[in-house]
Order: sequence, then structure tokens, then C-alpha cells
Amino acid sequence: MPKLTIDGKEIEVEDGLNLIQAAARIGIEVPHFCYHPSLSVVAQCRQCLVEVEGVPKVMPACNTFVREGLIVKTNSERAINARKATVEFTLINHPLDCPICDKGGECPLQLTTFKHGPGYSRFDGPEEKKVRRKYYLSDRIMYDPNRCIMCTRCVRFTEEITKTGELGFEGRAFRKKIVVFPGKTLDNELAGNVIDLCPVGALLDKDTLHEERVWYWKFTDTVCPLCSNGCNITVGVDPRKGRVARVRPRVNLEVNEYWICDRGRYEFKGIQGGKRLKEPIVRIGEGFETATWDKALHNISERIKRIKEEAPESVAFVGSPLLTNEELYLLLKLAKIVGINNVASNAGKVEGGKKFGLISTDPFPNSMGVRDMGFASDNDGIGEVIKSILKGKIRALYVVGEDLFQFVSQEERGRLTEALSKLSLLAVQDFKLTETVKLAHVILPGASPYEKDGTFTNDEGRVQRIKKAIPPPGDAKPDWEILLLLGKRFQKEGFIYINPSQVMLEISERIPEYKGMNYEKIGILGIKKRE
Amino acid sequence: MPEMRIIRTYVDRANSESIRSYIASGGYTALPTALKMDPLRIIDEVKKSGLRGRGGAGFPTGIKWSFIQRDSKKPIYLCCNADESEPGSFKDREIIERDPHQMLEGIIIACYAINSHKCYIYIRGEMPKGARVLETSIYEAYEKGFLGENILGSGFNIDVVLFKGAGAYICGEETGLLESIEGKNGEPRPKPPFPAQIGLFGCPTIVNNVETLACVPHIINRGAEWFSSIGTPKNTGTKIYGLSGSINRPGLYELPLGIPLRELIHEYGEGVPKGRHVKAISPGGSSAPVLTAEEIDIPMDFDSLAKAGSMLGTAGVTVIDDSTCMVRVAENLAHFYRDESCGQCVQCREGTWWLEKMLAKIEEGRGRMEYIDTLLDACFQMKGTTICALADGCAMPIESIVKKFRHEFEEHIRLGKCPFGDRHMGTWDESN
Repeated sequence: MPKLTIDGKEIEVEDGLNLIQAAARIGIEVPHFCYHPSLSVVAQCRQCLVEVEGVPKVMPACNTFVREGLIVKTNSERAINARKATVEFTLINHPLDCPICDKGGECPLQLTTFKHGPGYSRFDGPEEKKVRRKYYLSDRIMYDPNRCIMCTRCVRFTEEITKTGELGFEGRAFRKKIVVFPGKTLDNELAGNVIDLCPVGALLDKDTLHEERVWYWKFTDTVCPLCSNGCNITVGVDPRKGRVARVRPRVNLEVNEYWICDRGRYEFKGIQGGKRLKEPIVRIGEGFETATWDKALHNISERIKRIKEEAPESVAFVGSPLLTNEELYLLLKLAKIVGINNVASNAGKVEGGKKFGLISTDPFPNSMGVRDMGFASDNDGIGEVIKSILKGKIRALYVVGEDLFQFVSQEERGRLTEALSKLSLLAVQDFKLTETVKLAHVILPGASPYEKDGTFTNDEGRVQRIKKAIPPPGDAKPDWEILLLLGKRFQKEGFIYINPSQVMLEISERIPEYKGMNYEKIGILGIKKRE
Repeated sequence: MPEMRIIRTYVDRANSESIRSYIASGGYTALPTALKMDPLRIIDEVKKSGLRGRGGAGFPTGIKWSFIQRDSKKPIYLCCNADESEPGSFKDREIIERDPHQMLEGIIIACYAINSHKCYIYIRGEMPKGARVLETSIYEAYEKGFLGENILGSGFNIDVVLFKGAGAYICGEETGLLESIEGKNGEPRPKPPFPAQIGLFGCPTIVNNVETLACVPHIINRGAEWFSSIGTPKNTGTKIYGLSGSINRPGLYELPLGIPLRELIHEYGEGVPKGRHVKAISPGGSSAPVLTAEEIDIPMDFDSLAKAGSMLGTAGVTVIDDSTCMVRVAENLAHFYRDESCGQCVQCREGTWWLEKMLAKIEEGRGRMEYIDTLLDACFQMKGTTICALADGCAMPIESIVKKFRHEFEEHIRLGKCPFGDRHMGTWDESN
């Protein structure tokens, strides 16, 4: 553990750290563009210059490593001036079109100029700046060589992280630009990350090009609901438009490091733009009618109670690995209170390794939670329920977040449709319009994972919080809230919770693997459940 | 006064490039001696000779060789830097075209000394003749058994690969050269690690200049003491000086290190054309800070020039006379470096571009007085802040020109035009 001095403060850090990392330990920020903790060091942007005692030149902090007795000055006049000059050089050919740049407001170059730059440029003749054509690196990513500062983060990303090597650079000196190698396109599953990596507005997301202004956004730290890996994400929402603008990776070295896949980045649009259920609906005869929550829930609870009394075994509940731990727990609790044994939810399975270390074959975010909360998930519970339905043994069915047609073959769909139509009650709670929803007697509009609070347990047993980034559309409610409302109709005192964190406290008492867990402990990065 | 020819002894002879001519003039006699020596003794001998790298930096060659971890599990490479691209330098080209076996013999001895079995000769793409000659020479050396397996029965194997550059100044920088051989863009690497630890293909590598390697057989043949007796105590041996620019007898002159610049220009070069006066001298290739006419008595060696704030570099001396506009000289330099920057570091990529813009404006009479200080400050910030020395190579001469000829810059700005006339129209008067 070498001891060194940075700006007069002595610190002891582990070997192998560079000066950017070491300085960060004592809260000193050394500005940088090309350095990224997970990419190789190239020392090209020259923004992190610091003074090291005994070395005649100013040194790049990214390529200078800690050593016993090193005396580093990040705040000496020489170091400050060198970094100031670097900013001035960097901005000479930068178009400074920040007002119309998508990166504006969250641009490291902008921030560095603001904090470390000279505040003015001696470059005379902005009309002489070099101007080159923009072009697309893929269907989604646009490249603006004028803004590019040649940090090569994107090139190193495709070389070192995805190892697909689509990007390279062409030309030298001021002609240098990032290009896609001939015959290739930047279409690997992690490609979107280069947009976040870019420290300027050179790589832009075509999806939101000239549509969003980042300073309007409200950011919510949550977890991606699209596979069992549980990548940490930040969702940016423009509250004025009331919709998700962009999904970005959130650093969690234990889960997804710095990256997310393009599905996680863009698929929210399918949920946001797809056919959503916005209000409770009750079937009357052949037609549907919107109803109040009270009426819809009354309809369900009364019919369940009646059928339960006539034939206790003919009522079944179905859950889903898209539900949070809290919701799954509440569903099971409701079943127990009502006295129903037929409760099922299937879980996905991870097969083989994960692509790029973060794309899982299990498309559900909470398969682990389904198992942990007590569903006999590996026994194809839903298959059993469907068999009972087909045999006519089920009369009332409450489905939360699952589409039963996913579990039958093409040939059986007709039979299932017929069987479901014969049910005395088919209550379906979901946020999207599925085949099952179309046959329901009562439809309860739920919330997508971007619209509610709770926890998911990823395939490695890490319990992580998801948070409401936007409100559910229309009259829809988060599923845990619906379950509470329904539960209270069977037993008032059993469903008095203010929020999912209280449900988690109860889970932590009842389920040994979750013992002692609460939202505070789970924190922003999640914690592993007990073995 | 005659030159002191060691390397250039036979260059004027017909067919001097052939192996027959080289052997007939006593070539390939150092090799058998060397192969009988302990490799460490060769390194010692080179250390004792005081030979300093002739590529520009003047780093002691023997010490460089001793940085190699000889028992490395990875292969060790020698790279011969024949990418002579420095404006004003043309010394290596003559060795390559006129007496290449000298260099090859040096390569073989160097390989043996550092325990390397493979040498890459990186030759500049713009030297097609040199490449053709070298191809033949390498073939001849293989034929005679100086290259290949079991050289002269010593059991030592060496292969030499000729690698042609594609025309980039930056590939003469040693790590840029390595990148280029690896098939990548010629972009210098951040140091450390130095090539002696991690060089070509990630293996320990020594990069030596053509002239440096050509000195090696002579040191082996005639001893370190002989070599160190030439020149000055810390700048030993002869140096091939290239004279160009406004000079009556341009060309190459091999002379001991430390010869006064005045002697070189006025005796060997026979001075500037009649009616002209020396105004400035670039003593070591385009990257060296210029000297004024008053500084002409300086000894031409690494240390004296460094002390005077310039450098010996490649010893390509360019003489500038009083008919030349110094702003134009600076602009021309900036133009070259702006074009040749690899584009990695911002100080270099943007700085050279910015310098050229400012200098062009001054030259065209559109400059402003504050440009002069901005030029100096930009040059200061370009020095020592980048991965390699290309930015320094641009900033140093320009800074020296602005400092030493500030009045010319001021005159341009005051007059609103170049006092030497339109830059596209030469002011050279044929009657002179």
C-alpha cells in the first residue's frame, strides 16, 4: 500500500491505481475525457495533466500510477494552466453548438470547460473552423466529426468490451474521424453504450435527436425489467411530456458494470407506446363497460367468495415473474387468507452463459423472486392450472400479469379460449392488452415495471429496488396497490400497508433468505439474499 | 579541408552498395570478431565508445541496449529506424542507398549483443530506391551467410525483415514506428512502458537509427577508445551533417561532433550565395529551434546545442538567408506539422492547426498584435504536454522564430502585408 501526497494531503492507497483514481479517494476531481475505468489507458485527451514532483513535464494522471513517496500537485499554477490550455485547444475546432446539441446539459466537455477552462478563447476566426459531414454509424447512432474530440472511447469499447471491433479511425491530424470498418455496421447488442461513453455530443441517439433537453428530465434509479440479470438503470423522464425519454445504464460493478444492452435501452418504448390498459373494465353480456375500481373489485371479490363456498378447489390464482417480490408475496398472502391452494407462477431459467456478461436467456426480471416467495415454480404450476381449466375443474380464475396463451401450443389455443370463455369468473390484472385480457370478465389495469415501486431478485440472488419513474397511465394502479384493495375485501387487517417497503419488512420476517432485509439496507445497489 | 570520413568513406565509389564492394573495402570483418565476443562485452564496448543515438535524441546507445532483459521469455526485437522524414535531413538515405552493408553489419552485431533474432528495418515509403537497394543487400547478406541460420558457424540466427512505411512523418517516432509495423495506425504510444520493456508485438524492443547502427562495426573494428577519441568527451565520433537551404555547397559532410557551425557553413558549405547574409540557421532538422547569425560560433554537438536552447537533432542544417521571411518559415513549419500530427493529443492536433492559422493570417497581413503573445503561449503549452515530441517539434522552432524575429512579425502586422512580397512569388533574383 504505497503512501503518496496529493495536494498536500497524504493518502495510502492500494497498488495499481492511477492518479485520477487516487485523487478521487480524497475528493479531488481530475478532469478527463479519454480515461474510463473499464477501458485501457491511452492518455490522448491530455485533460488530466498534473504536476509530479521530480518530473520536468506535466504528466497525464491517467497514465501515472501511484508510487511510494510520490508528491502530486493537481492545483499548482502550472497544472491548472496546462489543463486550462488543454480546454482551449480542445475547443478550437469544436463547433460550440451547445444550444442545439443533444449532449448539452450533461456534457463532460461543457462541464470541464465550465470548471477548468479559460472562459474565453483566443482563437480568432470561428468561421474558419473545420466543418465535416455528419454520418450514421448504425441505424440508431449518428456521428458528428466536428464535435468529436478523438478520445477513442467508442473505438476501445468495441475492441475491449464487446470485442466486436466495428469501429476504428481514419486519417490523421485534423482529418481524423471515427468510422465503421467496411462491410460492418455498429449493431452489436451493447452498441448503444457508445452514446453514453462519448464525452461530447459526437455520438448521438437518433431516437431522441433534437427532441429532448436533459435539464427538463427527472431521473429515477431503477432496475431493468427485461431479463433476469437485473441491470441497474437510470430512467430519464420529461415530466412535461409524462413519458420516458431515455434509459441509461447505472454503474453497479456487481451486476452490469457500466453497461446495458440495447434491448434494455430501447424496449421501454414498446411498453410505453403499446396498447395499455387505462381503466377497470367489466364485461356486461357481450360488451365491455368501464367501471370504477370499487365496482370492478366488488365484482371480483363477491364472485370469488360465492364460487369458493360452492366449490373450494375451483378457484385459482396465477402470478408472474414480472411482478415484484412484494406483489408475489401479497398474491400468496391473499390466496392463503381466502383459502385457495391453486396458486401458480412460472419462472424462467438461465441457460448457458450470459452474452457480454449481462444478457440472460431468462427474459423475466424476477424469476428468482417467484421461487423465493414460495411458488412451486419449477413444477410448471401454470401448466397444471391450464390442464385443470381445460378439464373444466376451474370456475374462477384471477390472473396477475401473465398471459396464459404463452403456455399452450398453437393447436391448443382454441381449446383454451373455449375453456376460458366458460369460466364463471376470469379476472385479469395486467398493464398490457394480452389474449387473456381479451377474454376477461373483469380487467384491472396494472402498472409496468417502470411505473411502480418494489424489489426484484436477479438470477444471482441480488435483491434490488425498482422505483416508479412515471405514473401509470389513466386510472391504472401499481399491482401491489390493487392487491391491497382486493385483499381488504376479504380481510381488512391483513392488508394494511402504506407502501411496498412495509411489505418487504413482513417478507423479511417470514422468508429466511430475506431475513433482516429492508429498503434502506437494499440501498441503491441492492444486496444479496442469504444463502 | 577534407572531411573525416568513417561511414562515408566509400559512398562515392561506383557500385559501393554491393556486397562485393563492401567486402573488398574491408567490410564484414567486425562481424566475426563480434561473434567471438561475449555479447555483454559488445554492449560494454559500445558504452565505452560513448556512441549516442543519431536519430535526434542523442541517447547513449550502449545504455539503451543494456535496458533489454536478455533472458526474456518473449522474443526480443531490433528495429532499425530508416524512416528518415525530418525536413532538412538526408543523411540516412545516403547510407541506405550507397553503403547499406555497413548498416546491416551493425544490425547483425546489435542483434547478437541484445540477443535478438529478428530485426525489422522500417524504411520510409518515399524511398523506393533505398528499399530496392536494401532488398538486394539483404538478399546478398543471406547468400553469403551473414544472415539467416547459424551465422558464420556461431550458431546464432538472425532474420531481417524490410518493412516499407506508407508515408507518415510520425512513423519515425519510435513507438509510432512499432505501431505501424504491427499493422496499426502509426500513433505513438504513451510512455512508460518504454519499448525496451514492452515494444513490438508486446515484446522487448530496441529501436536504433540507421547512422547509429552504421557506427557499430567501426567501433568493433577499431575499438571504443579510437571512437571516443573523435569529437568531444561527451559527444564522441563523427556525425554526418546535412547542409541545405541558402548555401553554396549543399550536401552531406561527415565531421567530428563539436565542429563549429561557422566552419561547417563557411568552410565546408562555402557560405551563402553572394550578396546574401545568414539570417537564421536551423541546426538539426526542422524540429530544432533556430539559431540567429550571431550564434554561428556554436559547436555542433548534442550538449552545446542543448545548452543554447536548441538541439542537434538529426544534424540536418538548414541555412536561411536575409531574403527569406521568417513568418513564412514559421508558417511553412506549422503547415508541415499540422499535416503530420497523428491526431491523438489535442495540443498537437489542434495546436498545430491553430498555429498555422495564426501564422498564415500574420503572413497575409490580417494578423493582430496580440497574436504574437498568443503564439508564444500556445507554443509553451504544446511543449511537453503530449504523448510524443511532435508537438514539441512544431512548437520549439516556431517559438524560437517568434522570440528571435519578433520584429518581423510586428512589421507584418503593422504594414498589413508581408514586407518580403507575396508568399507565392519567390523573391529570389536569378541575377544574384
